[in-house]
Amino acid sequence: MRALILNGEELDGITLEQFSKTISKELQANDFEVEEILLKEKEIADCLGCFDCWVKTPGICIIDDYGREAAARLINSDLLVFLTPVVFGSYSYQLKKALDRMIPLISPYFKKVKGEIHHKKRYPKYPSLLAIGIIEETNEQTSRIFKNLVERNSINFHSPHFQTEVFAETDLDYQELKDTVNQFSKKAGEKNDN
Amino acid sequence: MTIKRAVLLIGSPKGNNSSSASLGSYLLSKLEKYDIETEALHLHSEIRTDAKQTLFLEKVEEADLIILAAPLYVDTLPAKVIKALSLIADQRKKLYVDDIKSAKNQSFAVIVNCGFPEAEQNKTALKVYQEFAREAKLKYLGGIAVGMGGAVSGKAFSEMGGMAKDLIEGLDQAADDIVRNHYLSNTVIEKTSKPLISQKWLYTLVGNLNWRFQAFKNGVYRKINDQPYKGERLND
Ligand SMILES: Cc1cc2nc3c(=O)[nH]c(=O)nc-3n(C[C@H](O)[C@H](O)[C@H](O)COP(=O)(O)O)c2cc1C
Repeated sequence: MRALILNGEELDGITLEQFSKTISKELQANDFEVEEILLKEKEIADCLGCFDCWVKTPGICIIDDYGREAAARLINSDLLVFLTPVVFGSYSYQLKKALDRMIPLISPYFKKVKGEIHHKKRYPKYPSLLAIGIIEETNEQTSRIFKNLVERNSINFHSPHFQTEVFAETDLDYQELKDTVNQFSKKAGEKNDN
Repeated sequence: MTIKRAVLLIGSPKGNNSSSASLGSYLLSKLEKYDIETEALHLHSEIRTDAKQTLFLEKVEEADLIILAAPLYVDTLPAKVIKALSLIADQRKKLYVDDIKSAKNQSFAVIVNCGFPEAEQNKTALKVYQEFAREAKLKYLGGIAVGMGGAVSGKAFSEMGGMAKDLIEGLDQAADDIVRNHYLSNTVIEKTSKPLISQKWLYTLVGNLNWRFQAFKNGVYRKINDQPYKGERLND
């Protein structure tokens, strides 16, 4: 089993190293082979919105940079972790620059999911998604938006399982983080055919 | 506060060929009729360097009203828009700490468009924009959510015929609300969120045909379902 941590730490924000180490250790304890991408160190250009990844070079972004590599790694993992500061209830720029480059991984074709239109899968299997948001101080409002967002993403990225937790920097509880990762690893490790 | 100057921030990488530019420019043209000075800025080129960022923030600061028009990317704001809004919020927070008197009252309104036909798919993004306005201490005038943005892409509304009737009426009303610095009225939200094509099966059919047609034109019709990264063993 493979896990991929996308670390969306900002250039001049707080470091998420301690979180990512904790997550990584816990995943390893659950028999995952863990890989982390510290996105701020990678050259990933912003998506151009051209859809060439669907109609010109199907499955591959036309921009030849680390974005392609990140997409290949993501689709070949069983468990995906978004680790990000919560920015206005959403993701950091660093995480989002990578996520916007992931649409080559899905199909252009449409299908209905619970009455709404979404895209079909391109690959038979997609990773489960664990999103860990870090905020300065506890904030119900932004946490709710963040959870909402991850739930929406889990539909578009065909995640078999997903879970979202928001932790405040100020009253950090690593045990809680460990428990979250531990439980989710078990769930994501189960066989499923979503 | 009366609105004398408005700035439109276009958050699509597709520049003037984008639906964001079409929607935003239409609203801006309506505001001009009320003698509001306007300027349109493309975020993708405006914040590329530090020097440009400083200039960008100055232009934003001059405005009484900031309108953002952007696509929905992966259920939320495109990366570049997050970056631009973070710059604005940081600048505003700094102003409020340094010299609260010099921080002027500014309002913020947003137009989000998404590819899927349901305007409701923009809901989370609208909440994010509202949260941005709160943190940046901007008066939030509300958000317009448009579905099936591809139908608008880069076009003038006059080319779209009857299909865009509700959308146009909604945007006209939005201009009316905005000049008075009022929150967008319910009619605006209702009219602009109406699906441009109401039958989902038709959207799916036409949409799927369109992808096939484009792939065919590019000579990759048979490759459209390719899985280039399947089973790749990746080592550093
Ligand atoms: C990277 C990327 C992600 C997208 N994600 C979504 C999405 O989550 N939901 C949706 O309805 N449309 C999505 N779209 C479609 C765009 O929102 C749609 O094409 C929109 O009309 C583009 O607007 P623009 O012309 O102003 O750039 C996405 C497009 C791109 C390129």
